[in-house]
Amino acid sequence: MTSIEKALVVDDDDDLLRLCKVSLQTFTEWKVSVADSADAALHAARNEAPDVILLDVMMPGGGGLSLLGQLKGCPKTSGIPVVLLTAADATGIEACRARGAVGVISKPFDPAVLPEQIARIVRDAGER
Amino acid sequence: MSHPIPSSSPTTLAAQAALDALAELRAGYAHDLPDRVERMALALRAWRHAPADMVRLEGARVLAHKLHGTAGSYGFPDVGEAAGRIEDAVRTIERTPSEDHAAAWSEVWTSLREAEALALAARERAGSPASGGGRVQP
Repeated sequence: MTSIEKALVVDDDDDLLRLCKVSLQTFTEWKVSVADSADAALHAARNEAPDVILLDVMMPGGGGLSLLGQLKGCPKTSGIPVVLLTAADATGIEACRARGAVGVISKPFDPAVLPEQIARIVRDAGER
Repeated sequence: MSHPIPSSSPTTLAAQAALDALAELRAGYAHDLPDRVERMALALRAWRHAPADMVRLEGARVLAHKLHGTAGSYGFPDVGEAAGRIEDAVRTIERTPSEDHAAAWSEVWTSLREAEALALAARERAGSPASGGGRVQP
């Protein structure tokens, strides 16, 4: 899978959700959904079948890595590429990849190139 | 022979519209930035007065963490870094014996003053947000 038509952004911070949504919607023609909790994200992932999920690592209630594990453990969502957003250092980034993320984008990020970064990560993952 | 894209081509116009949308969002964020820093300051002061109150600790930590994670991506990395230093100091205070807290609290107040000054400067530079700036619904 290399083309993206639908994206789901998951973060508990409204400011970051807003920034990601505007970035992805205005620089691409992707249909973008947002979720501000793990429950909302799981529901959206199961029902909307996005082509990619952009997930913040630092979520409450177990964090983004716990949600990543739930997504990878569910047959309906396990195949969806997940890109993590994190302010973690290199060690933390490797831990994210080891949990099943196809890639990691470091915070702070440039919203003008965010869609390009996501598309490249998903494309590269599809070629592996 | 090359065929340059006219400046009014749909692609160029779409890219410009996208950049304009981001600029509007950033202006709205900059306008609200001093208020966001002030909310963090209030939470930190509330916690300082009741250091054993875990709810207050969590409130201060969450606000510092959010500012740390968000301000840089909106184009205000100095504010994000100051909030990051506050977040680190809060973690130090949480995890170490109280006799070791003086330096960490000093870092909190120094970085808070810095964040307040930077946030006010960002608001001044941004001027008045355009109509609806920063109000895009998630």
